Amino acid sequence: MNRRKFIMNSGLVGASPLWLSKSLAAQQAKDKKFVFVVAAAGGASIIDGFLAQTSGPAAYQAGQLGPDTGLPFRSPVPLDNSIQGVIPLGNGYDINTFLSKHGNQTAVMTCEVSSVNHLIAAERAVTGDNINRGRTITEEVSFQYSGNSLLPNIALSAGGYGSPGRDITLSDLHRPVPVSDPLMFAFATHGYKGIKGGPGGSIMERSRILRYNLEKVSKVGQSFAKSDRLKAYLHNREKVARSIERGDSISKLLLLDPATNQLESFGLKVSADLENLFGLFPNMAEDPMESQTALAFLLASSGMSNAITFGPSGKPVMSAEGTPNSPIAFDWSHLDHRGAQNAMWGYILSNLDKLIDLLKATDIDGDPAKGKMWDKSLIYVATEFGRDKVASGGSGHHLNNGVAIISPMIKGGNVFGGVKADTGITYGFDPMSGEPIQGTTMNEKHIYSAIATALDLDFPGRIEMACLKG
Amino acid sequence: MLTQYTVIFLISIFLSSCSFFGQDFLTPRSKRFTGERTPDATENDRADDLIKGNNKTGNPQNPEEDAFGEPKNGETFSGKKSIMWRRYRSIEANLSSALALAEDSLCKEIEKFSCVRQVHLTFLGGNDPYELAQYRPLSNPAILTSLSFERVVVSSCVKRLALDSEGNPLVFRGFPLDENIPQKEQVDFLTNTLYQRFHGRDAERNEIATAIEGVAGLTGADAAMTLCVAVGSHLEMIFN
Repeated sequence: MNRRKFIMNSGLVGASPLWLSKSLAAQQAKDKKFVFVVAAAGGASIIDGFLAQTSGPAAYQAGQLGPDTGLPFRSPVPLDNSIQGVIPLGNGYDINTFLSKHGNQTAVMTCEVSSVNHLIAAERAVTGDNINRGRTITEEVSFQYSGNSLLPNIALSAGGYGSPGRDITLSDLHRPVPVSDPLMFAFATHGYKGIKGGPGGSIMERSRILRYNLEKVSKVGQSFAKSDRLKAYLHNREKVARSIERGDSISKLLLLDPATNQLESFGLKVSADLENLFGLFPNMAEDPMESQTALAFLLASSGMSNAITFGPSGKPVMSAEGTPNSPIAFDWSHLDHRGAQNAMWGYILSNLDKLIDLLKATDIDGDPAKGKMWDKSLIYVATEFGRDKVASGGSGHHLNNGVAIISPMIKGGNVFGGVKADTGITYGFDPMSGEPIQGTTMNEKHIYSAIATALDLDFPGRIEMACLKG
Repeated sequence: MLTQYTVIFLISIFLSSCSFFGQDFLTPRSKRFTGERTPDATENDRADDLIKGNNKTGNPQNPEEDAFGEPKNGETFSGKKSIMWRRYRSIEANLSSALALAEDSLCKEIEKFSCVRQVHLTFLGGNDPYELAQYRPLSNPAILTSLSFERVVVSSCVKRLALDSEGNPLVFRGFPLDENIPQKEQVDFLTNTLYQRFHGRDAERNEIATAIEGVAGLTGADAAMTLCVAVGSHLEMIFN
């Protein structure tokens, strides 16, 4: 039985004990790959991102579009956006800057999804409408490519994008771990470090041994010894959590400013990367998208995780200069289509631009022999649905749209499908050649399968989507 | 030969007429007249599902449970395999009462940010639908739940020990909170006190013996901390 067949038949692996999953993961350590799912919540309209129109009812004016770069994309420049004409909206980042840097590793796939309900559509965007036994794309990447990562699948963003999938056979190890606060997530990786006046390592060890011995003689512990919930908790506490703690993740992942928070007085240290990250993400303390992007990088570069979901907050990051993101993210399009789309695309891509630069400069697991992280990374800008194509002011939800995928492992610089200029509606393409075919549409299953194909992820029922694979 | 075919034909006519006229001649008479029906295949499947817990809307985080957190194997919560996860509000209230500390003073990361309500909320079984769009809490403890919980307990123990060390102790009564080695009777008394305060029951004799052995040779301050963390982060605090 070859590896492909083994994985295809390995429903049993998901349900298997942790050690078996881990041994399989260890076997695949050399194949580590990363997926970053960006939750473009609220409906990121592709014809306001990478496929802006020059004619028809959805057209932008000539001065609103960036220059023709020779790539098949066309994007608006930062517009003069505001919230109700009062609060400046957007961070001024030009989508065309992103394309000039990463356009040849960017692809757009058109699609028409199956729901305009935010939560349902978000879940379908990451499960491919449950094409892979209900597993999300992060769960599958975690399952197949996490190597020896201890917390492979992290959900920094929620709202359906960070929800667990529906495959009940999948091990808990590969399910998304939700994070409340990216700046301080690191505290959850250590049981006692950083607690002022707290016990040292030797007293904690005595406490843990005593606790273990007390639990052994506890009637509750004995009565419920068969409980899977209790067994999992004790296994995670005694084995997995201890390994995480020993790895000093608290120092590697802490994103608090050491000076203003006087971290030294708590016996806390921070990552050597932190200064650089503060330079790249100067508003990290207030802006969840910045702190999530920074933590996503630290989680991946520290070897802790390889499948990470993150995205903008629905709450505007207000300052005297305005806000870089609109309220309720892309869904602000209900009130101001162009303003919300323009600001939010710029906001998301400015963060991705920095993340890609970081991944390009960093070795996998800090080992130059394994190559740069970006070479094994894929970013999927997931969104629930599109928006109405003809927007005079606000716009509603629309099934028709497209998604952006950025990776060196794909045939970048391509648009798969097209847009009918007279309606602004996208149409599909041939899954193998990628040739546009009017009158066809692709759906969530195609998008999921295309990403899976690009990442060499096998699963039963995968649609062959060779067009995207590089 | 012809006779055999004729008999088969007549039997099939009879069987089809049974259902054609809407009469259930094949169900035993006793059941027909008591209103008891022979369940069809679908109903049988449903009955099996109820008994065996094989419902199709299971909990994705735990294949052993249904969507309501009930065990699928048919055992009830009073069964040996079923145990409830106590979430953040319950933990917070219990710790507050056990250590006589206000809820908002139990644990703050770098003395600023609430451990229970903010930093470790999701790992302690909470969720924030408004700010974080977390519409559902975790259905089972996460990999990091034990560490988050431990931090809350350690921090709370540190606070109570610091207060009790100043004099007029509320929890660590009759126990040397300094460099002196405690007597066995003092460990016995404190262990029982902590079990009563954290778990609402007396400590068993074997638990007290285990505790005495566990803190042997430690100073009073270290023994008090060790006992507080061990009993306070015991599985009985997070499950019931």
